[in-house]
Amino acid sequence: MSARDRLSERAYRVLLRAYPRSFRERFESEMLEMLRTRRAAAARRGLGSRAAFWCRTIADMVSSAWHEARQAKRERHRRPLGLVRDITQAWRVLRRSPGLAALVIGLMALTVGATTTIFSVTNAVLLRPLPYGEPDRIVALWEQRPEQRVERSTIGAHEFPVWAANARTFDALAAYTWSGGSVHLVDGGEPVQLLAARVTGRFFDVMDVPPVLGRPIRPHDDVPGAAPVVVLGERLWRERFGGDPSLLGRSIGLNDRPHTVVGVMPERLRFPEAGPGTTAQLWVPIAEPIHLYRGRHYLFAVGRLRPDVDLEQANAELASVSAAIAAELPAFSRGHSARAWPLREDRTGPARPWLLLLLGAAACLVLIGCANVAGLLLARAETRRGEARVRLALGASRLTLARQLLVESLTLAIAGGVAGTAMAVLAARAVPTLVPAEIWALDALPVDWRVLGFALVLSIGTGLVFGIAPIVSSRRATMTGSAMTNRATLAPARSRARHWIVAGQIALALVLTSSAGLLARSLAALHRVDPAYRTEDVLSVDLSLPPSRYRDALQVRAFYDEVAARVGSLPGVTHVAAVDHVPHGGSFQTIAIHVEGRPQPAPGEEPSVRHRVVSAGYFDALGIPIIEGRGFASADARRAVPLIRWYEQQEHPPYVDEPQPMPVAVISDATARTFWPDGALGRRFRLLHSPWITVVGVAASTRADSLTSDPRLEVYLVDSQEPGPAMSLLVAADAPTGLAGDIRRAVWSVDPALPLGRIATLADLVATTWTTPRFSSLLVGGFAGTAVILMVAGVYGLLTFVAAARTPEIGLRMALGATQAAIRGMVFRHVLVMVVAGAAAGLTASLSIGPLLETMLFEVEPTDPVTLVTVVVLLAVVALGAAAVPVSRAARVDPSRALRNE
Amino acid sequence: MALHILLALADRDRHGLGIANEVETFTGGRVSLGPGTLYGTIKRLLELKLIEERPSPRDDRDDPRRRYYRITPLGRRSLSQEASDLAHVLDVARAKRVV
Repeated sequence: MSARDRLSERAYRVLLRAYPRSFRERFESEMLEMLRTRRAAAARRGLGSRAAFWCRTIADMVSSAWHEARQAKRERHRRPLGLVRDITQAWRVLRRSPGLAALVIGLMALTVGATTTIFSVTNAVLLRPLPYGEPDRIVALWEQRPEQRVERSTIGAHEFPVWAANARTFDALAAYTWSGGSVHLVDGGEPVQLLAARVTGRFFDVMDVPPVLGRPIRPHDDVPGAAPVVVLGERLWRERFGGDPSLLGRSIGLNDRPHTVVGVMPERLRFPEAGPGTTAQLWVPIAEPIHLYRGRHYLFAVGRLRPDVDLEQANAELASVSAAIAAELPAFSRGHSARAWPLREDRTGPARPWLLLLLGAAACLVLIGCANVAGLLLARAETRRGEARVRLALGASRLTLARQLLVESLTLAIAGGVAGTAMAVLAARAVPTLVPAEIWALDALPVDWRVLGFALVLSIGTGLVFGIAPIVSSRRATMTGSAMTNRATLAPARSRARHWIVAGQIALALVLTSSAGLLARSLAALHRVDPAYRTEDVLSVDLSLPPSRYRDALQVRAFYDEVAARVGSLPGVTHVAAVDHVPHGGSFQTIAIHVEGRPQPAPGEEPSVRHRVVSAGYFDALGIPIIEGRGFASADARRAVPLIRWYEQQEHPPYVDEPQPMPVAVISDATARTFWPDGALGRRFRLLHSPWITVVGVAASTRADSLTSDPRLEVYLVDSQEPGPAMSLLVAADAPTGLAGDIRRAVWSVDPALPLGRIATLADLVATTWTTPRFSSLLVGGFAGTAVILMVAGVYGLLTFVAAARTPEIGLRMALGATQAAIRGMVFRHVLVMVVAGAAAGLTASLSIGPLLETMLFEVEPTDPVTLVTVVVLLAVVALGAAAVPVSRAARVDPSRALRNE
Repeated sequence: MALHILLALADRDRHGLGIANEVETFTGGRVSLGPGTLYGTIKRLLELKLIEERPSPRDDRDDPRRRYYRITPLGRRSLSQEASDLAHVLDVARAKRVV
């Protein structure tokens, strides 16, 4: 081939580039061959012929190339499956930078996974319908005392029957309470303690859950003197009775009293709840004349609204019925009102602040995740600016480009979303085991259509949001850039947007980190609190005597004396005592006190105290010092027990007129200071309708019920004057946990049919106080950690981008004599601006959400300057650290190379 | 151009250059197909399924990789339809003494 031939061939190849690629790929070789043949023929015919050949060929190629290009473009627009092509194209583009794609998908998966998990918690707690018939019509009712600002109080036993008889806005109203102590089931195996709900006759009409077997409790069962019946929960029925359907109609012993099994309720009923995760295992009718129990406030109530009635009407009616009761019985009901809340709202009440906290943290995470992904894509859009210009110059419409970018973002978002959803599905199994039951008793987080829909909407939504940033950026490119350069000139507006994004990330990370810091400090403060009683090496064993066999208070006393003696003789045991509400055991009792010599306060306005019934050895066993007077002694034992009558009409105990030791009490010094600042010994008070009780001793105050509040006013009575069937045995020993078996045998040697309840050390019981705060600080801490990682990625990414984009400028400056330090300072300024702006915004936000956190904090103010300053400094250091690498890289730019790239 | 290419393929299969030469021959040099026009048209005829590709026959001495084109039955029907239309046009032209 001659040099001229080679030249013409090259010229021809150049011309061929004007054709669409598909055309070229298909026909190039044939066209070249044809050209060679023709050219050779023309050459043989001479110069004129050769010139004519070239003229013809060029004309042919220009016109047909134009034609083909137009044709190809028309086809592109006509193709119906443009989306498929866009996705394929997006996939191809993403495969070209797998690192970036993996990073974006990972960030998205993290964001979507975490947020969807939180949503599935919200869904389980707040959104899924309760598993009862028409659950929206079920309400929880509470007594209110507006004058004392009591929003929810248990309902007076004399008030509920009046509500039930007069409320027209309800289809059914029902009250329930818990069985005194707990119920012993002795049939069908070892004795066990069960949680029984005592319900009024229409309870199951309110809940509207069909029984698995038999029938529910009906109004005729709930009449004093009716044949005792019981409805079992499905789990109890299956585990204890093997799911035997012939149990129906048979009699089982509850508290040693035969009850006929009339029905079995499905597992999903799970109502009422005694505490989070603790639900009734069986239901028995109350069957007592509760309307006579004036002044006893121990009932809970639920109601089913009539379908045509709304909550407002029901509340108006409850208010008017309450007013009528108060007018009729002012001594018992003055100032009492009533209100209904939707059952769900009522049950999720305590979870609400945590849910809000969680959702807030999740929202922060989504914002940071989006901002980061948007930042990454924006950086990439910069590098692809040249490509965008070329495609525009070749006739691609802006719409096509925008669509392509959007499809790329959405492809990433959906891939990340799928991964995130998989994470959330896994988390849905793990989360219930991590959440303390005090916050939510979660069985399982259902992954239903709401959760999946949420994940989908979240993925697509974030995809759209972070997809728009590069589009806006590429639109600017089309307006400003020149098609001939691929170099990103740093338009100030664009980089400012990215700075704001990173500053926002710093702010959000600061909000989360400061919240986590406050919660952690609060937890530490909680750990430092001294409960002021001995918690180490004391075991508590819950016991509850069946009233059928222990009718007499003396029998109860004899039982506890005997058990104490036998347990006390076990090796290693130093003290044995008993108490009716073990400290930090989850329950306590508050009772109205009337101090002698003070005017009788109006009903409902009496001061109240926490009251505990203890055995004489309680103060020694728990190391609570007696400051004044004496502790209890065996000589205090009375025959006329109990002291406290709960309502006025209650009969006085027998032997009350016989001579015997006077009623005595030990009070805490906080109580003494409150009621008798000038000396409490020998002073007298009444609890509800008790006889006068004389103060014989003052004990040191304890934090037996709450670590977070000041010591409550405590009043102790002795069990030989106020015996109760349900007590916790406290055993102080060198290594008490090893004694559980011996203690059990000792109890059974006194009563072989007695079940033992919870066995736990006092230290364990106190530790339950920390579960919830520990969980919140771990949770928020986890979020904060994630936010900081994302923030580091954001700062690093932005600075790398800024440094790269300004490389030519830096090179120029260095060539003109700028020092490395000056360059470092110049790039660092970017970081400083972001850190200052982010910190300012974050601090403002932290301070404004302070009130939300306040309820969860203990001995730490939401505005705690130490925490806030530490967090700001810490984040600033981390942000500057993240910037260090790109900044020093920028400062090491070789000016000659930087300028050569210009 | 499409008509000329179909006509060139009516009697036998040819490769691209062969088509161009045949067209040039039967038009007496009045129609000369440049490569762009030729292959652009071939592409459209392929898309319309009027012609199809086939491997080069064994006796092709020039280049075994050369692609040959064959007229499809559809192409043949279109060609004869088009040709008879043109014949009719020619008859009219003759009757009116245009040619």
